[in-house]
Amino acid sequence: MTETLERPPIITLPQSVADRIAAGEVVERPAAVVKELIGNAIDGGADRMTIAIEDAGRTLIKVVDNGFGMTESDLAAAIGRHSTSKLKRFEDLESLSSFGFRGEALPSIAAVSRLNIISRARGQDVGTELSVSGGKIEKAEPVAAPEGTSISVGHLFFNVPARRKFLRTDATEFKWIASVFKHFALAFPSISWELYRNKDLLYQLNPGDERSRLAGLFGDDVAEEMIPINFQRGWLTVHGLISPGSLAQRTTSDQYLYINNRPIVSPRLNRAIYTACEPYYTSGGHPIYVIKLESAPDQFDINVHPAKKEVKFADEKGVFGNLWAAVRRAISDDRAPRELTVEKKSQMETAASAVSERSPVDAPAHLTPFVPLPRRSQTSGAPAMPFSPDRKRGEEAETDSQLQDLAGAESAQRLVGVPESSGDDGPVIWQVFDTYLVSPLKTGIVFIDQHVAHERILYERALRAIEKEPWTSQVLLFPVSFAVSPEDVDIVEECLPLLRSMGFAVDPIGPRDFRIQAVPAGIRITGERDLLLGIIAEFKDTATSNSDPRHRLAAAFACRGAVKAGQPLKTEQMQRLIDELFGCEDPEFCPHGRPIYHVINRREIDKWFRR
Amino acid sequence: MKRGIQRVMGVVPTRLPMPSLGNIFVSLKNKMLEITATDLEITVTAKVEILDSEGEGSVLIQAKRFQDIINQLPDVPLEIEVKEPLKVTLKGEGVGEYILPGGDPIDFPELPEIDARVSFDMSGEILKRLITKTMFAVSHDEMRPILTGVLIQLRMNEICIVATDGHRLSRIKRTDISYSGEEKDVVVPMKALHQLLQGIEDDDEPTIGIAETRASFTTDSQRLTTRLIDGHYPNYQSVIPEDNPHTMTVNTDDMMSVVKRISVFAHPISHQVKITIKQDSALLEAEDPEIGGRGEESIAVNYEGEPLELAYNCTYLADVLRQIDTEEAAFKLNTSNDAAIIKSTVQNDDEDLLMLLMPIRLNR
Ligand SMILES: Nc1ncnc2c1ncn2[C@@H]1O[C@H](COP(=O)(O)OP(=O)(O)OP(=O)(O)O)[C@@H](O)[C@H]1O
Ligand SMILES: [Mg+2]
Repeated sequence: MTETLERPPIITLPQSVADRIAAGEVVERPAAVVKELIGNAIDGGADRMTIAIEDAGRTLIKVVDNGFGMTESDLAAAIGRHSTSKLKRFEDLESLSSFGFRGEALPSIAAVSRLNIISRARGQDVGTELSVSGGKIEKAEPVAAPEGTSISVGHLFFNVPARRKFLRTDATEFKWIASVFKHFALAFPSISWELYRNKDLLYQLNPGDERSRLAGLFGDDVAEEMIPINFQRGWLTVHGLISPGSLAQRTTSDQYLYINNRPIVSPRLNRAIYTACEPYYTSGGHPIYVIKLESAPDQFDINVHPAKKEVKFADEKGVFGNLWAAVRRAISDDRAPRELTVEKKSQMETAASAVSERSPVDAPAHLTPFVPLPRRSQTSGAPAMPFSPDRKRGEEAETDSQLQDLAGAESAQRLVGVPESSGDDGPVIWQVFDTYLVSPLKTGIVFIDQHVAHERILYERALRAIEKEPWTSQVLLFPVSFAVSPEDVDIVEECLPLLRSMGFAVDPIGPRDFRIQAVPAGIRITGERDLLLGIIAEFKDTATSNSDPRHRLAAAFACRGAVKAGQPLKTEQMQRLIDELFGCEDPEFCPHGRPIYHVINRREIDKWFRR
Repeated sequence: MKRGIQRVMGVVPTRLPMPSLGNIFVSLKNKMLEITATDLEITVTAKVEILDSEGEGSVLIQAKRFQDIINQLPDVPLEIEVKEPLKVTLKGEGVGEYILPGGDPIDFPELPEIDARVSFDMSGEILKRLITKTMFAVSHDEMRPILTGVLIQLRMNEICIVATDGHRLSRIKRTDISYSGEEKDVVVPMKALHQLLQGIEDDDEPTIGIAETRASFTTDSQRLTTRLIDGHYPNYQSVIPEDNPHTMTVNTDDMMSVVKRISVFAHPISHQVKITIKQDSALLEAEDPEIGGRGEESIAVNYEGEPLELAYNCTYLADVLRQIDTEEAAFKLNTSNDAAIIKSTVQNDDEDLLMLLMPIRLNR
């Protein structure tokens, strides 16, 4: 296809059309504009920056910096294509330390928005104001202005309806903007930053080190616990912070990786980090990290992708290994006394912590809404009534709370000679893979997925509480407070009344801080804060689905509150679960539509044995 | 021997993190027989009286089988012999001969030596009393390990024990303790306390030793060592209200019976019981909408103050009442959202028991 005889004549696209096409490459969405503008401001020597976003960037993106600014002629050149002050010769590309190098960002943005730039160059008396609309200069005149540059991008994509339509909800677009902001803010802790959304000041970050920057973004609790990484080998330096297993997250959104202070994505390097900390994330989840690699510029190539993110290393294996070592060393040093898995030094110490961490027998459900368990009837006089409702209440359960709550109850039983498996007071239920409940039926065998079963139960219960009869609340002796990121404040406030009817009394105590005063009565919750944050995260993730918020919240509660797969259950808990499942309105499917149980009927089994 | 085994069996783990933990360590030294079991958190050594002995040595014996056979044997003198290495023979008058496979004592985990920086004696009876009065309030929330134990605070001549699960709290203080060491706060895991209750007799005089990460409780017949839970115990003092304005006094047993009856009809999950308090009576109500049952009962009280409507988890309420030894119990109340303080109406001079109960908030 390279050399066709009759090729179509080359036509020159009208410049404006070409610009708009090219613009799409650089600025596909508001967050990309924010990224380019911040990059320019940093290249421009700023150490203070204010960013204002309106309507998630649809109507306004404004970046004000205090850098060295531009003269009138700089300005005119800046919006011309391929004009950059940063790259004179092609070889410079090899050893680049600025964010910009193509000279494409401003012209691209100018082509698809109403752009207004006010800038005063260092040492000049007056500044210049330049207005461009859809690529055409409309105004260029001297103005009084502070030193530095203020760029406003108004009505992005006003002349590209297709792009505009392509934008997601404000919440989603803003999430991406916030992510760009956080990436830069963490990369440059010595710069002071402000981020406004629709006139609200979301973040105000003072200059400091990485840890204090983290505190500004994620709260002091997180920042305090983060483990420092400092590592140097050959041409690679790694430093930064990573969370201990105790701070494991449900999402991967707070992971920041840089090379020479430039944010990058690299699935490979990400894997190095994960494998390094895996042994310390015993109960799963994702780490929070801010990791900065420093390397000689000739060791990697960052211009693989137009969005300047993907990175290629000359020595991929070496980087992988060193990053792995850096993270593993940091996290194992930090955790050495408790979580070390080698069984050498003091067998005693290490094995002991292994026991307490796994504790398979008594591990309670994350949330155990199973009512207190009945005593195994030692007299066994009552007829075996599987799933009878009275087994779950009454004096027996009450007087017994002390006995069965004893951690040593199991061994106590052995002392009094109760057989270990007294299966005479209920149906036979096994738990397999700590995930499925299996029970024989008259007609076959039923398999139940414990997580989705519990999810269904909790979903219906929560919905009933929200729609019909509010759940009562157990007031807490030690209220638990939590903070959310400023973007999430609205979401939490939307949830509060619904949470209240589910029994969670949560009060705002600061601009982004909340306090859990009470939890649903009778539901044993472990880790109120994590549960609530989980519910909120889940609620937020489903924000785009347009379904009734009450259903979303009930589903979020069910999903976060239900016993997990892999969690060992006691016989009584299994019984309760099955009992309550079949009391549900719809025991077949979980709120997300997954099947809850599956029956293998007898005929099928017979077939295996050719009966 | 039976008693000795019973004492140690409680700590043999049900699921074995290390195979050797399913064994008990039996050692004969200086004419003393000791048997030891451990789950690595807690180690219990029982001293067993012997009539006569020959030689010295130690061996591991499978805990379960050893216990089963010992339990089945009548009360006759037994002869235990380790002849060939790793073979244990049990003999006795009229009970035949049993051979148990033994294990190499090397496989048993090395036991922690604790060098106690603090050590004192107290009466077994009092120690057990303090434990019983608080233990019910211990938390089971593994996410907050610090609350899964009881806090022991040692002060000059004083011991204070606290347990809480964040819904209720129990604190008992004794001021007649012969303690003169430094001020010390430690948190002892629940399982160790449970073992202590079983292993210590009222007339024992256990010596309590506390080191950096462990504590030990030693009597003539046994020694229990436990790991301490580390972390910061929440500042419980700040949440105990000092000046709840209203006091309700009620006959302890009557209240207990009413609570027990009412709880039959309590909501199966929330367990809530509503209490409406007036000048001289309190009305307890419970309702289980699922089965459509409800119950109410009124009880005579002595009360001064505004009429109040409160709700509590009836299980918690019963737990608290159970700890009151006096005829009457005093409830110090504030509003329906605040902590209630429950005490005996009469307290021993040397003892102060205080229990705190957080209410259930009634919606509407
Ligand atoms: N905030 C600012 N302060 C000072 N100079 C600026 C600022 N923003 C833009 N400039 C000037 O305008 C030029 C063009 O900016 P533009 O973003 O289009 O290109 P670039 O940054 O060089 O490369 P890239 O397209 O890769 O971002 C820059 O080279 C710089 O000289
Ligand atoms: Mg640029």
